[in-house]
Amino acid sequence: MKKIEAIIKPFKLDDVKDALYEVGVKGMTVSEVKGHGRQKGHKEIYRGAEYVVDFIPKIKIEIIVDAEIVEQVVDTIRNAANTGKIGDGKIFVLPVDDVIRVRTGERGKDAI
Amino acid sequence: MNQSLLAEKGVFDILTPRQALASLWNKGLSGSDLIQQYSSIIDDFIREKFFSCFPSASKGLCLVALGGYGRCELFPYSDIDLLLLYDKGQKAAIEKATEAVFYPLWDAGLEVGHGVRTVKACMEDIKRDFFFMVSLLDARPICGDEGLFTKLSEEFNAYFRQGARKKFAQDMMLHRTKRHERFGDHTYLLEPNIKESRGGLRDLHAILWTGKVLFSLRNLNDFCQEGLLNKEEFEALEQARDYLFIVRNRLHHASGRKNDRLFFEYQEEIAKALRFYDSSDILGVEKFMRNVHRNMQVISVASDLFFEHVQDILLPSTHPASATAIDKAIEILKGKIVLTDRRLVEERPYIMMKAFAVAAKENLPIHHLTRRLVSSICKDLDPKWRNSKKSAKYFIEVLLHSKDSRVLDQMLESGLLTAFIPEFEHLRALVIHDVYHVNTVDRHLIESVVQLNLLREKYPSIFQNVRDEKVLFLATLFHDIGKGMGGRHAQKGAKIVRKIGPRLGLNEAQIDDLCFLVENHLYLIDNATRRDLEDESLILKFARHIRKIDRLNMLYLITIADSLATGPNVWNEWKEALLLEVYHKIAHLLEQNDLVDPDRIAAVNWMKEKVRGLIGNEAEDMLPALPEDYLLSFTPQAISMHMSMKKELRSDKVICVPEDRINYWSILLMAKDRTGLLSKICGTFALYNLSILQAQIFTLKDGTVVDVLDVRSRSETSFSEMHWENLCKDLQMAIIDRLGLNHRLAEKFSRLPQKEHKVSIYRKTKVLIDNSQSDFFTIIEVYAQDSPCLLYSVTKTLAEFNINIHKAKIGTSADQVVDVFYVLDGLGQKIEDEQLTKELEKALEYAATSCVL
Repeated sequence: MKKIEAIIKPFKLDDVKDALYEVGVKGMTVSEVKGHGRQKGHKEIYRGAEYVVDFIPKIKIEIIVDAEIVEQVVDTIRNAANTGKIGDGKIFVLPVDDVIRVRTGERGKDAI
Repeated sequence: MNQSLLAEKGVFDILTPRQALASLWNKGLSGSDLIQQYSSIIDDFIREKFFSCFPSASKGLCLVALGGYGRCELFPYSDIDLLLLYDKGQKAAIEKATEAVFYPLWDAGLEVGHGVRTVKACMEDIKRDFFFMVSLLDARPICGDEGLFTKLSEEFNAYFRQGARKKFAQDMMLHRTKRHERFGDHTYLLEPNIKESRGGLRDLHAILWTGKVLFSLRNLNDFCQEGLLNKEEFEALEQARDYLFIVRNRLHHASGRKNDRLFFEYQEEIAKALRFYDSSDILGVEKFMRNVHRNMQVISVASDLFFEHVQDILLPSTHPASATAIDKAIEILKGKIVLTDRRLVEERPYIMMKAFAVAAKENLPIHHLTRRLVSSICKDLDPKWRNSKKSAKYFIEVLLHSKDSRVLDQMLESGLLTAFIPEFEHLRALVIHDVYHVNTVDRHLIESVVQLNLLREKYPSIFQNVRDEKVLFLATLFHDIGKGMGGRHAQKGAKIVRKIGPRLGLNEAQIDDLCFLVENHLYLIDNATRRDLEDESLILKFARHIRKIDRLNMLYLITIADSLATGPNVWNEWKEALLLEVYHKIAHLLEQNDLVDPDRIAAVNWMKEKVRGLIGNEAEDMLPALPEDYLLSFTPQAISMHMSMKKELRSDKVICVPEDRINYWSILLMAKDRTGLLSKICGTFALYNLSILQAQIFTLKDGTVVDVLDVRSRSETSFSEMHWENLCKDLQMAIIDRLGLNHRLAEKFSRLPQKEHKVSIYRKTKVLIDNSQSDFFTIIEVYAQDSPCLLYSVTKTLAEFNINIHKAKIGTSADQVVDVFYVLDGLGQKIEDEQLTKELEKALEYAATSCVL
C-alpha cells in the first residue's frame, strides 16, 4: 500500500477528483494548504497599499492505494493537474505500513 | 390513591415504567400530554412501592418530586429527581424507604436524582446550592407525610420573604448569562440544545421561577393577568413551550437516552416523524428547524424583555433619572432610548426607525417597553409607510452604524424590519441544512452587515474607494434574500431587490448596482477558487462582466463579509489569498479602460461572427484560440486564410507570404512557436537587406505564431526583383538551426561601407523592464539607435535568456527604434527575479548599443 500526496492548483481540484473517481479511487482527503516551491510568493502594490503574498494557496490531496495501481493513479493526477505552467504542483508517493478501518477494525487492503 | 386501587389498575403487574412509556409512544401521545401522563405513571409506580413498605400512615416521612418531575413535566429519559424528607425521629425508617422506592426505580433502568434530608438540612442546603434551591421551587409531594412537606414550603417561602428575593433574581440572571455563553457558540446554532440554549426550555423556566419568587406568580396565566404578558405574548409563549415539549419528547425517543441537543443526525428523523416533507423550494428538515428556531426565538425575546423588567425593578440605574429629549417622541431616559408618545409614533412611523438609528449611532440600548411598543405598532401599520423616504434614510443609518448585531437583532425581533421590508419575512428563522451555514438566513444577513462595518478598519483603502456606501450596505443586507425559494437564489434575489430599491429612494443607477451586487455576490469567490487565474482572457472576461472598479470594490467587500458571517471556518487566509489575486488582476484590467471599452467588445464579437460565417463548423474549435489583438488586426478574410494555412503547418516549416504595399512590403509569416523564432526572422531579413518598420506578433493559444512584418528594402531592389523564394528557403533553414546567421551577417556588413549618421544628436540606448503594467507579462522596452542588425541582436539576446516573446511592437521613427516586447520566461512566468532583471537589462543594453552578432 502507498500513500499518494498531491499538491495541485486549487482550480484543478474538480478535474483531478473526477479523473480519480474514473480510475476507481474511492476516497480521498482534501485540504487547503499554503506554501511555495520554485514558484515563490510575490508582492502586490495596489493604490499605495502593499499586499505580500508569501505563500501561494494550493490544494493537497491524500489517497491511500494498493501498490499495484500507484503508477496509474500518479499518471491520472499528472494528466488532470497539468497546465504546463510553473506551479502545477508535486506528487509524493510514500510507503504505508497498515490501514485500519475504525468502525470495523478491518486491516490492510480491505480497509482502504 | 391506595394500594387496592393500584392493584385494580394492575399496571405494574404487567408493565415496567419503560414499557409504559413505549405504550404511550405507540398510542401516538406526544408533547405535554405525554410528559404529564408519564409523570403520573411514575407517581403511581413510586406510590405503590412506598405503600407496600409503609401500608399505614407514615408520620415523619414524605417523598417529594423536584424539578421537572415536580412540575409534572417528565420527559422520557429525564432524571427523576426525588427528595426523601424525614423527621429526625424517623431516621430508622430511611433505609427501609430508600430500599423500597429507589432500588426498584434503579432496577427499572431509570435515572434517579435522590436526596435524603430533614427540613432543617434543606434550609441550610439552599443557601449553599442554588440549583437545589431552584429545584425546590417546583417541589410536589408524592406520598407520605404531607404535613412535613407543608412545613418545608412555609420555611422556604419565609426565607424569600426575609429578603433573599433580590439575591435570587441576581443569581438567576447570572446563571442565565453563563448558560447562554456555554450553550451559545456556533456549534449550538447549528445543533441547538432545546433545553439549555438561548430560547430553550430553561429560559422559560427561569422566567417562571423568578416570577414565582419575586411576584408570587404560579404560572404563565398569572403573568398574563398581572399584565407582564399581553394576550398575544402569552399565547405565543404557551405555543412555543408546547412545541418544544413535542420536539424534546421526540428527541429523547430518537436518541434512546437523555439528550437535549438536536444533533444533525436526529434533525431529519424528527422532521419526518413530525410530518415535515420536502417541497420544491425547501427541505422538510429545513421547515422543521425553522419551526424550532422560531419557537426558541419567541422564548428568547420574552426572556430578554422579562429580565430587563426585573433589572429595572431591582437595580437602581446609575444613569441620571432626568430625560433628554432627542426628537419628538424620542427620549433618552436612564441611559436607554424610549419612545414617549404612542399616538405620534403611529402617525409618523419613521420615528421608530429614527429611534433605532439613534441607538446604533450612540450605542445605546432601547428600553424593553419601547421594543414592545414597536412590536405592537408594527402589527397594523399602513403598508404605504414602506415608501417613506425618511424611514429609509434612518434605516440605512442603522446599517451604516451597526458594529454589533444588537440593534438590527432587535429590529428583527420587534417586527420593525419585516414591517418595513416585508420581503425579509420568509427569511426569518430560515435554515439552510448544511454544516457550514451556522446562522439562520435572517441572522446571517444581519451578521454580514456587522462584519462589513468591521471591515472598514481592515481594508481602509478599498472602503475609501466605494463611492456609494448606501448601495454596498443594502446589497450586503439583501444578498441572500432569494434564499428558500427553490434554488438560484442570487438571480431571484436580484429580482426582489429591484422592487425594494425604488421604495428606499434609490435612483436607477443605484438600483442597477444593487441588483448586480446581489446577483453576483458569489461571482468573485467562485471564480477565485475554481478558475485559472493565470489565464488572461478569463480575467478579461471577469473584468468585462463587472465593468466598473466601484462594483469590483463592493463585490470584494461583500464576499468577505458574507464569508465571515457564514461560519467560523468559512473564511481563511487561503481563500483570502486567492480572492486578493483575482481582485488585483481584475482591478488592473479595469483600469486599462480600452480593454473593457464596449466598442472593442462589440468589434471582437462582430469579427468572431464574420469569421464563423467564413469557416463554418471548424470555427467553434478555432475561435477560442485566437487572441483579441489578433482578431482586431486582420480582416475576416485574412483570418480565414490563416486558419486554412495553419493546417499545413508543421514544426519545421515556415509559411512566408509577401505582399507589395507600394510604400512598403508586408510579409505574413506563420510558424510553430519556439524560443528564438523572432531572432531568426530578424537575422534573415537583415541578411536580405530588409529593415523592419513595424511588426505585429501574435501567438495563438495552440502555439502557432502569426507575424506580420512591414519592411522596406535598404537597397534599391523592387518587389519583383526580390528573391522571395530564397528568402523563404533561408528562413526555413534558419528556423531549423541550419543557417549560421552570425557569420553571414558579420561578413555582409563588414563589406558594406559604414553608413553616416544623418542626425547629429546621439540617442542613448535605454532598456526598461516592467512588471507592473500587466499581470500576465513582463514588458521590456528597448530604445536605441537604428541599425540593420539591431532587432536581430536584441531578440537573440532574449532567446539566450530562454525568454519567449508573446507580443511585440516594433516602431521606427526617423532613426530611433522603440521596441516593446511582452515576454515570459521558459516556464511561462513573468521575470521578477531582481538579479536576473538587472543582468538582462545590461545584456540588452549591450546588444542594442553594439549590435553584437
